[in-house]
Amino acid sequence: MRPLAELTYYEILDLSPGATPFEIRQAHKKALEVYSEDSMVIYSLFSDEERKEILARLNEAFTTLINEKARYAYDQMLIQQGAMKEGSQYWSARKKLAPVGFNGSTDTASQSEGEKPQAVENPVVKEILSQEVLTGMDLKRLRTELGVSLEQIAERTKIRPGMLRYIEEDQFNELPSRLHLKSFLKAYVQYLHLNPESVVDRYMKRIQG
Amino acid sequence: MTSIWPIGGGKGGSGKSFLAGNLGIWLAKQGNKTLLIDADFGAANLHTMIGILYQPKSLSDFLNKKVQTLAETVIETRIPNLFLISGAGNNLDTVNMAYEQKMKIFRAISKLSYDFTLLDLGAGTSFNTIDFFLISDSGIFVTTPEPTSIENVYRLMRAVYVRKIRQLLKTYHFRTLVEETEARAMGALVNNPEYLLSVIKKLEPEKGKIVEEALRAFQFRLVVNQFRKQDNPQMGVLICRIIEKHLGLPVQFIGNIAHDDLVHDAVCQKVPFLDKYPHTQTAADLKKFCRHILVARSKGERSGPGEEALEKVAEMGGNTGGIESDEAISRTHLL
Repeated sequence: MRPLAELTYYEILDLSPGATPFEIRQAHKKALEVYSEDSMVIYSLFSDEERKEILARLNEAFTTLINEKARYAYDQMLIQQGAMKEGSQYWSARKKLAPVGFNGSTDTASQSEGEKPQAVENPVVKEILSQEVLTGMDLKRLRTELGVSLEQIAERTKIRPGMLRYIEEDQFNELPSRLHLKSFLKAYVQYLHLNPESVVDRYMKRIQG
Repeated sequence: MTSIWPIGGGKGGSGKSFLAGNLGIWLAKQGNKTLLIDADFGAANLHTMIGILYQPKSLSDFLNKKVQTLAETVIETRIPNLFLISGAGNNLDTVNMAYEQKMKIFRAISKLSYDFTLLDLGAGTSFNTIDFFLISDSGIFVTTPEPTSIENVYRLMRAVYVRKIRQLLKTYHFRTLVEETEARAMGALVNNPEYLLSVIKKLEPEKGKIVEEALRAFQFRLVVNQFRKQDNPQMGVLICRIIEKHLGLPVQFIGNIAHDDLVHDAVCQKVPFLDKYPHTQTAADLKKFCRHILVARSKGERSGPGEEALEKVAEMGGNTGGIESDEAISRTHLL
């Protein structure tokens, strides 16, 4: 057999570097079928040992790629080795935004800081951010101006799209407790690569008032 | 230049002759001068598939020097543009053909002027079958969706590729290579082209590069025949992906060809299936398959042997005795 170690986790699962978590799950499920003991597709091609080795490597690939942090680190490694192009990663496919919740990772911090000026230099964004108070409508304008869809935020932050819509539509009756709302807003704003504190505070002002 | 397509598949009954016959008839009817060569020595029956009962001449007449040129063994068929070189009448000597004789046939085939030359190969992974894949950069592998057939097709593909690598290297180099590979693999079977290639590259990077490029030039195709409703339609795609991933060999999936009991009827009546049952799923699949081959040629795909390859073949044939070289190779794929 071709040495398995030569294949990247993406190649093992037949995925592109920009694959979404959903695609990774699908690919893993499909691969488990292909390499199962009674699979006809690989009949006679592998010894039982080889097949088990492949399965072990498949699971290794899956658990790495499905985990945000592990995948980020793995991608960085591939880029350093020249096995993957900078910019082809999943995160860069999504408007070059680094994943949210990368606490303590200096790499990510510097990357997101590098993105910030772009967003703030946008005149529309500048204008909105200069306001004393921010409404749900303002958040929506910021988001659309930066070319981000609600679904993207929902997928990344795990906040359901309905809730995000309530926030943007100022439907205060439907919003959760202050504590939860604040954390939702923070995740939302972080995804847009804006300064979370100032934006969240200005939205919350109106609820207090 | 004639577009040469060897059609093989390892297992008997997978439909090689059926596909070759129908492909030939279809191509001829599209106005392409097409030659069918029955290279299933010992079990030739392609002539029956296209409704020819008596063969005045056959391939063995050329090998036995009853006729001077291969062109003299060509039989006209009832279908305009379609010609046949029959394999019937070949005796046991032809079954165990020497390497030099095969080279003689190869050279003769490439000199014939047809748009398409289709080679119907026998079952199994004998050198006769494998070597006929060396004549062209194209090749069609036929399997049915059954483990027995898939097993044989994997076996045949590996054997063909290993043989291709060997063809590109001189015998003594190959021997050292095999020894070296065996040593490195701790006694594992050296029937893996990718592994063999990686060793060549380590030992002799320049040679490795040549072999790698030559292997990449091969455009092998896979057809899943006798496909039944309950079978997984993705099987062919998956097989090709597995081969590419684990053996490093690029193989293109052409499509599934539906199983139909009417195929049996058509064969029994010795009439072309496409004429007799044109409105079946099987006929639609067959036409798709035929079109694929026609398009591959019009794209200018290199499916002839080419001068360079022929020279190499001649060179190989020149410094290795047939039986001896077969022995050398048999060590490398203990199938």
